[in-house]
Amino acid sequence: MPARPDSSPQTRAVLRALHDHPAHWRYGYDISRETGLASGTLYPILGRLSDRKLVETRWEEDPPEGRPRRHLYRLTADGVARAVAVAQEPVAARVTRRRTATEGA
Amino acid sequence: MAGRRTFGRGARRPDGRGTVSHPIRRPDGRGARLLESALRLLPGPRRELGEALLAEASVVAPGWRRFAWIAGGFLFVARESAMRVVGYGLGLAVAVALVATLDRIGTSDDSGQVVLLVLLVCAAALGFIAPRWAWLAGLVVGSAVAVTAMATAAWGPAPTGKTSIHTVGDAATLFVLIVPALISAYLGAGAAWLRRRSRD
Repeated sequence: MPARPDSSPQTRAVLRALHDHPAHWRYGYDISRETGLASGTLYPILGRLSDRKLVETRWEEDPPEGRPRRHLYRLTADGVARAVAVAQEPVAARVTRRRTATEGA
Repeated sequence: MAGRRTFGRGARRPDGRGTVSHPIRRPDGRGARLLESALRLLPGPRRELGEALLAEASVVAPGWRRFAWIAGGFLFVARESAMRVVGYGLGLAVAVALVATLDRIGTSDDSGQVVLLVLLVCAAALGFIAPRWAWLAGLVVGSAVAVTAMATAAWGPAPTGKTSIHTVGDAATLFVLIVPALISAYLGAGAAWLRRRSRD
C-alpha cells in the first residue's frame, strides 16, 4: 500500500508542531527550531500541506522595525482533523520494526 | 525603511485578495542574494514559500546556522524546480530537433516556409510556457537552422538539390532567423502575461 503523503516522520512533526497551538500563526524558523527540520525539508512539507488545504498561510502585516515580514502558517479545520488522525495512527512499519530490533538487542 | 532593499511582489493580503502595499524586506549577504536569484526558477505557487524562507534567513543567527538555512533554500529550489527545468529543457530540445530535421528533409519549394512556420510556432509555445526564458527560446530555436546548416556545410555531404547554402559563411546568414524567433517567443510571453492578467 502506498504511503500517505503526510505519513513521513517529518510531516508528522510539522503537523504536531502546528497542532500544539492550532489557533496561533507560526513562522517557518519557529517551526524549524521546534521540529529540528532543515529549511530544505520544512518548506516543501509546508507547500504540500498548503496544496492540500491542510495549512493556511498569510504574510505578517506589521512586522516590528528591523525585522523582515514573516510568512505565517496555521492549520485549517481539515488540517486539525488530519493532525489528530495522524497522531493516532501507528508509526510506519519500518520505524516500528527498527524500534523492535533495537529493543530486542 | 528608506534605502533598504526589497524583493518580491507585495505580500498577499490575509483575505487572499491581491497584495498588501508594502514589499518584503530582503536580507543581506551574498548567499541570500544568490538564493534570491535562484527563487526565479520556482513555479509561481512555490515562489512565495521561497520568499518566506529567504525572509527568515535574516533572523537566523549568523554563521553556521544561517549558512545551513540558506543552503536548505537552495535544496528547496532544486527539489521544487527540477521537473520544471528538465521539462523545459526537453521541450527546447524537441523544438530544435523538429526545426532542424524539417529543414534537412524538406526538398519542396515550400519547405522553407514550413520550417519558418514550425520555428515560429515552437518559439511562441516556449515563450508562452516560460515567459522569463523567452529570450532563450528565441536564441536557441532561431539558431537551430543556421547551426545545422553550418555543420552540414562543414562536415556533411555535398548538397544534391537546389540550394543557395554552399559554405559555412552562407549558412551563417541563417542566424537572421533569430530575429523572427525572438519576436515570436516574446509574443508567446505576452500572451501568457495577458492570460495571467485576465485570471487575476
